[in-house]
Amino acid sequence: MEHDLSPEANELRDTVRAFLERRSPEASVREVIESGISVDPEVWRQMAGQLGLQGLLVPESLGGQGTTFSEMSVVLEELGRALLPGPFVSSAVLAATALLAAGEDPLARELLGGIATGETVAAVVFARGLTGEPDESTVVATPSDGGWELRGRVRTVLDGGCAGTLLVVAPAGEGLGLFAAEAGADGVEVVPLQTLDLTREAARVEFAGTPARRIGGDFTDGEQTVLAAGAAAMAAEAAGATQRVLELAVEYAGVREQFGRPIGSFQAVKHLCADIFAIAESATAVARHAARAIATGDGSVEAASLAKAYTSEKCVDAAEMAAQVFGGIGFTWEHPVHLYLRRITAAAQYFGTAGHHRTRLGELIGLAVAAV
Amino acid sequence: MEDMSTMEDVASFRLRARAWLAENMPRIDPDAAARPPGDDDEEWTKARELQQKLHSGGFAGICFPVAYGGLGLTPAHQEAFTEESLPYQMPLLLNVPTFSICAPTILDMGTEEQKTSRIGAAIRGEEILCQFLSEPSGGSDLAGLITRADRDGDTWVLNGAKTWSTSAYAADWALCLARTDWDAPKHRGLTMFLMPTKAPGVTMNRIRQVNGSTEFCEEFFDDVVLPASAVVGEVNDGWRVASRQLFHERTAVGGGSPYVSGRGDRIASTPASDPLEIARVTGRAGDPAVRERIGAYLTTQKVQEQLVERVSRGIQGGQLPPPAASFMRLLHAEADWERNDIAVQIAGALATTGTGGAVVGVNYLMRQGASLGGGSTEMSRNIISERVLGMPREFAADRDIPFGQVKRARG
Repeated sequence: MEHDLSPEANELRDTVRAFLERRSPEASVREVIESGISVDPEVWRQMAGQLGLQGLLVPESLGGQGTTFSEMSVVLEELGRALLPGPFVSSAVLAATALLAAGEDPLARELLGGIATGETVAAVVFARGLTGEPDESTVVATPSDGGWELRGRVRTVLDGGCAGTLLVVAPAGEGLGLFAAEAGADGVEVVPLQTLDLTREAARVEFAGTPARRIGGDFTDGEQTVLAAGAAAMAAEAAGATQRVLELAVEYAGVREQFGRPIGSFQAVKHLCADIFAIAESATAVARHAARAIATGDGSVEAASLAKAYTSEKCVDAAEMAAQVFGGIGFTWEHPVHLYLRRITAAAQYFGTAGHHRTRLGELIGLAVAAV
Repeated sequence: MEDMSTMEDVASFRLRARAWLAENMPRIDPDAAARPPGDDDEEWTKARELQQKLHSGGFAGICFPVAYGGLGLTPAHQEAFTEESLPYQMPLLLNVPTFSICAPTILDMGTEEQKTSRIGAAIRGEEILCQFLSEPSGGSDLAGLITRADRDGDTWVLNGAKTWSTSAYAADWALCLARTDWDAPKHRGLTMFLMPTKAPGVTMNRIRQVNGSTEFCEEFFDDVVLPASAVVGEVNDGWRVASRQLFHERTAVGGGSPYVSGRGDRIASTPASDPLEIARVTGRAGDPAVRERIGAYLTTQKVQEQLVERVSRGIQGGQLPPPAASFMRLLHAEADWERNDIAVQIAGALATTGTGGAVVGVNYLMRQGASLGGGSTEMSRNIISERVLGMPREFAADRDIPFGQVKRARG
């Protein structure tokens, strides 16, 4: 029972942790990685069917759970902790948030219903903000035959290889629009990329006159909402992963002996563990703060930036310190610490680096104050 | 805490506080020159007066029990009062150690007489409390202290020396830890005493620090006589009292104490260490590198706020053990270092000569204070790893040995 979570969120956390320990232990995660599939279809089906996780953010009227981002954030902590592979963040967090932000639209309702059952797997193609590259996306939408057509390429689409539906944010006349395209449609080329994080795939996607349907009106604000959700999601996953890295490091320091004593009795080692613990606690506190802000809509952009600025720097530090505790064994493929280092380091780069968010916070709050 | 059914709700308490503050408390003068912290007798007289005002208005000791002169309200009431108090002068000097460390320790461990007299007088603004813990021969190894208290009939006679006692010169009473049994292992032969700082036989000097401040003191005891009623807790059980005291200290230093009224420690509130203020005064707010540093500073401040909330609620609710207060202490040190470092980075060459008043670089000289005062961060990491994570304890040459037989450096 954690005091900064509601009783429902506590229960959800316990349920998801027990489920993942049973259905997706490290050995299963490694099987998914080795086999080259991006997700275990049976685990995915049970997550949706038995636990309703893909539908957490989807309203009950559309077949979802209608919970808030606070519950979602707790689930994301667990997914980070268990290194669950698959497009959960893309489909259940980013796509769901995008569709909800786009406003009332029959297609949005249909897609949200599909996301909740897990049958629809959607990925979001961002116009900007995922990688921070200056020409992240060259995709533009133009009207065509009463519908729309997409042209251009995007260097990085998270889960682009396994998604059936692509939700594309692209300039459309003045401003931005949100467009739905089928990944298997004419003129879509999806090129899988090698990824640092073996549990989250990514692809380069090219559109050559791909037919698409527009959802809602101007999506300029909508994209910011989705980017904030992405930042908060990465923060929650990193916090959960860091909690687990701490447990592994402490356990190892208690059994590994040198000079006739457990290495965990040496200050140099136990201080590393204390620092990892302090980071794990701070990361959890700040990720949950961001989730509450998104749930209530109060200061969500600032809170998400804050969580991302902290976790992108410090959770990486924590994973590095853990690798130091493990010594040589941490360099072996068989040891899990590199899987965490990969996931945490990759999460640190998406939706804005620590430096990006610090500068933004400096502008959002700091200079407003300094200008007075 | 008062019976919840009759307790005034926070919103109504806040409104009453707002009206009372506007009517009674002096506003902060933004143009007043910053004083060196805690050096000035006038500041202490002023703090007592402000506390007396709070008390006569019925807003003192918000979280202390009614039986000992407090209001018996919740941390939420205190937080509301603090928020309302920000534009006004407050007796911030009394927050640490009087209200957040000493009074809560007496509340947890003291006799009825000690609680009624000392806590009540502090809340009324009549008395100030301080700590006699560290000694010239030991800081981190507090339990290895050698100030002695010997029984003489119904009284105790103290001899020895204490140091690093914050603002002891302004205080009336001190919590003093002394050795009462030299045949017991070090933690089991200590007793806590509540002693008048001006008792016959006490010699007090002020210590001058690197920034020129003299808020710390050292004391020498020559046959100081205390009555039996001066003992806090049980004889030879002083380590338990000290542990409670250290818990309150870590909580206070980390910013999680419900007994603190008003916000800002005296140092953080000086313009010479506020990065935002420095960016404004030096005209460097437009520099992208400065913006990122400001963002880093703000990130740490907010993370600290969230961590304090998570950890202090966890300790109150019993989900985290009290030693987890060390998290707050650790993060406070890191935040303070960062603030000092960023202040100097933004000020650049102006850190050496002043940014239109205070000299940033002189504040920076106290940087290490944040990771030493209230127990070093090395000790915090020991506590977190050994007592929260349950990692193996480090070898100690003096464990389970009668203290009198432990080899000690002379001097």
